[in-house]
Amino acid sequence: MEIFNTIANGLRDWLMGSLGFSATATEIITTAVWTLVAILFVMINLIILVWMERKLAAYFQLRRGPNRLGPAGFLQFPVDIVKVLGKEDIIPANADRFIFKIASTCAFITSLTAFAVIPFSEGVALLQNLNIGIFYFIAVGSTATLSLLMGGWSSNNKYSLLGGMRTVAQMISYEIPMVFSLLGVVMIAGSLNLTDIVNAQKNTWFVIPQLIAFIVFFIAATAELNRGPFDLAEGEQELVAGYMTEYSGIRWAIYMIAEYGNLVASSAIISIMFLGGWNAPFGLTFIPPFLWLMLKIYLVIFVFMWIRWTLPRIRIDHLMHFGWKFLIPVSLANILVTGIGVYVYRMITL
Amino acid sequence: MLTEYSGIPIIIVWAIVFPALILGASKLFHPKNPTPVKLQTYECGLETQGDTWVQFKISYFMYALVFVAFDVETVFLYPWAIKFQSLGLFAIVEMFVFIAILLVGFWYAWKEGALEWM
Amino acid sequence: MDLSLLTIEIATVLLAIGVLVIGLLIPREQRFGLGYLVTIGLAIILFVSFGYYGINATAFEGMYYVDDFSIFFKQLILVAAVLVTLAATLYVKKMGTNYGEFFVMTVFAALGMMVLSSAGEFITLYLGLETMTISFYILTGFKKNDSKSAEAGIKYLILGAMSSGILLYGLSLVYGMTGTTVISEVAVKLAEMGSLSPAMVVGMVFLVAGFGFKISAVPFQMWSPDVYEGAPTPVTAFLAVGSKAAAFAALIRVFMIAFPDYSLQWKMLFAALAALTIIIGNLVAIPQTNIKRMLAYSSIAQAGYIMTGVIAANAAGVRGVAFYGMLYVFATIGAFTVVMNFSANTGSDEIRDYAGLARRSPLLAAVLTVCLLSMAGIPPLAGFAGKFYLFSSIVDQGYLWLVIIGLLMSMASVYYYLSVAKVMYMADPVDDSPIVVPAGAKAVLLITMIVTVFLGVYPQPLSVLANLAANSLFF
Repeated sequence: MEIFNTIANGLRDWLMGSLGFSATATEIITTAVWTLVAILFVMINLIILVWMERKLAAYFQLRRGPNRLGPAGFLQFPVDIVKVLGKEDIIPANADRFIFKIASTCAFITSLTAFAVIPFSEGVALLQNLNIGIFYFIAVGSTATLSLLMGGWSSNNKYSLLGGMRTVAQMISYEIPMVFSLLGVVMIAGSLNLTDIVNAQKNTWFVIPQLIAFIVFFIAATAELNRGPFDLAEGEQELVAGYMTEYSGIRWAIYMIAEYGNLVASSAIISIMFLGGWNAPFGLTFIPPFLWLMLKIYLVIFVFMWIRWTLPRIRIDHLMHFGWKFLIPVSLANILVTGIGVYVYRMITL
Repeated sequence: MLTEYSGIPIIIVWAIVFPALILGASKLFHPKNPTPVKLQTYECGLETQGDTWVQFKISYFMYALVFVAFDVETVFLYPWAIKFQSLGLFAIVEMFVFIAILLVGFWYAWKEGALEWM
Repeated sequence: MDLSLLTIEIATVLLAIGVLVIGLLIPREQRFGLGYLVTIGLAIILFVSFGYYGINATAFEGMYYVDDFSIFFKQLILVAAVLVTLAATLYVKKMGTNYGEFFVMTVFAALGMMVLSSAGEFITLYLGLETMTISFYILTGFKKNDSKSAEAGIKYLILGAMSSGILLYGLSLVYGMTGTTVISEVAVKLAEMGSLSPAMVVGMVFLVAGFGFKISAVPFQMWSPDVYEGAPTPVTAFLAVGSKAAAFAALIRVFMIAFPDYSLQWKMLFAALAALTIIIGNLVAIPQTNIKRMLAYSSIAQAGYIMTGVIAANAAGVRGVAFYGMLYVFATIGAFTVVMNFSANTGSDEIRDYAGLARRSPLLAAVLTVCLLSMAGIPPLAGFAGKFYLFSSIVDQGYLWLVIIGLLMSMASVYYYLSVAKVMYMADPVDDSPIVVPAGAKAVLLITMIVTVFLGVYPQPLSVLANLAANSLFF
């Protein structure tokens, strides 16, 4: 997107030229400003997504959902935010106070840092030249486990601890197929840089040669995000919201922000790795690349929500068996097939 | 924008500052009148019994152990995945041998029941 | 890169993985038979390894040596592994579950030792060391339901991890000061630097401490009696010979190739350690009443004798280490096989229960006597030739005092070794029932006894190999 770069360059010129900052200071301020933009982006998406989730859930269940405030109830969630700001911040007497307090912030840190590498179109990312892009995303994404366990453990609540432990078990189990399935894409693209990977999909989206990897990744991402049918960590009916049981008010809201931030980030990674990123399909280039990517992200999110409100929650032993005994062998086989396939393809074409 | 990794600390600082800001903002609005009952652990209305921080089920640990083996493997797989196209057949065979060795371990864990949720 | 240089290691890995896989395929109760498979496999590898003498090449651009020195030590390890697995088959069956894993871990430990003895670079060295010690942590605690074994496992894990950390810290200091992890390049870089920096001295001291733990030299010996006593006896035997020999191989390579210019400094350090080790090992062995603890202290003392060869820092010294190391394998495994079979029959490791063993099982008594006397260095037996090589290598280097200590303490050791023999031959048995020795263990007993006697009378074949090994290090 030209406009982002124009703004960035304008900001840079203004800082260096008119205000006389040094080059380093300019860079720091520019990055800081862009980070703020990213936070705003997450917040705007949050507002849209919560509304979308509630509306979709309602329609899947033949209800109407929020419909009082604003058009189609759209203003319901902004008002909810104001309400949350005024809620009392309760910290249970038995809790491990320090960890309890920082846990939600930690969740937010992982969520935001995961965002840093996602390019929203050619050259628009907080850390755009990070040559280990996807690896960084996986590395940062896997630390999310820790913040959830921190919340679950520090609450000193049996439901929370169970939720936290289940989160750890589930997330580490599904991290392996997730990482392995991305490997197929990396093998074809020959790069970890997300911009390079998108550019490698100019002709064919990787969802076609890597269909199995795509499906495995989609399932694993659902589990990583703790969304239904893999929402055992939260399980309202059995664990009263799991690791979040004792959280209230604004700390709970920060967890929610992080969760929806992760949802957007994961959907963006799916779009970038498998669905061609900002490349336009069928030559429909009149829609700008940024909007194409957003469209794809929202399509993926829609599917996530669709699954969540359609399928019932699965049992934990089924969950673990499915991850370890099905997804991991499948994703390993995918690596094998991709390796041979790419090698044969190169032998034919060269 | 800053080159490569130097942007990460700035992002982390923002990620700490932003929650702090809204926490501070909320502090201005929200009431604060804790009562002993309110601060009790919420376990669905029942009084909480016993200690929460107890020894936990061993099978979680078994999964974690197998996970570590796989996680370390990915560290080797990613550099290989980038370069294997230019390294030729030897690299492919070598990595398959590597994966095969890991698979033997995986099979062992499977067969010996480390992957059973009991 | 020629992968055929690594045939021995690759074959060992394949053997371990193969046994693991076969173990999964056959019913649990039949898995103890895997022991014979491992023994045969290792014996074949041992046989093949004779073809690797005289190659003297490096693999992976100098990171991995395939010279006569490493081949000699690999053979030593393989001999130990073959004897241990052969002797252990029935012991393991009695121990209960997980027969397959026991042998797999033994092979992996042997693999780690092989890598350790071949390592030409610090990371490879550390990798080998960890493969070996982690396997031993598991093996030591293998009797899950025996509190002594579990205690030994945990003790070994904690102390071993600490010593590995110290060793690693030493390696990283050396790397930090010289900028290379390749052992032969360290010497070059050190020569360029001209003098030893304090950090370098600290690094070397840490290396001595780290290796000192692995070879159980005083004052780093505190783990070995408890671990030796608690561990399953075949593991104790393998731990006593294998890990010690491999650590000596690595130690010799590191100190003689990386720090030859500062040999005066580290020789002094090792001389002090050797003297302490010989004295304390032998003196503390005297009052022991448990045979495994007695053998543990005696093996500490043996480490002290072997260290004298390191102090010589020349081909003669290394030859002494190699020669003595091989004898020590036979003597120790012979002794521990006797202990293994005795406790399998009577359930006791106390020396006083050995009363009248000569009447209950003449073979066990004879082997134990021969092995113990060989360790003491009584002339017609192999230990005498070994000690002769070791002591003669340092006697003209100004370490006469150490030789005298060694000789005096050898005499002291005769006392406690002979007191075991006295109990076995002179005392009346409490229980007259004969002791059943299974065929595999019987073979091991005969082999160790014959080799120990034979090499004492005619040391030529082994000393030729030991010479080859020593000369390849100082080409």
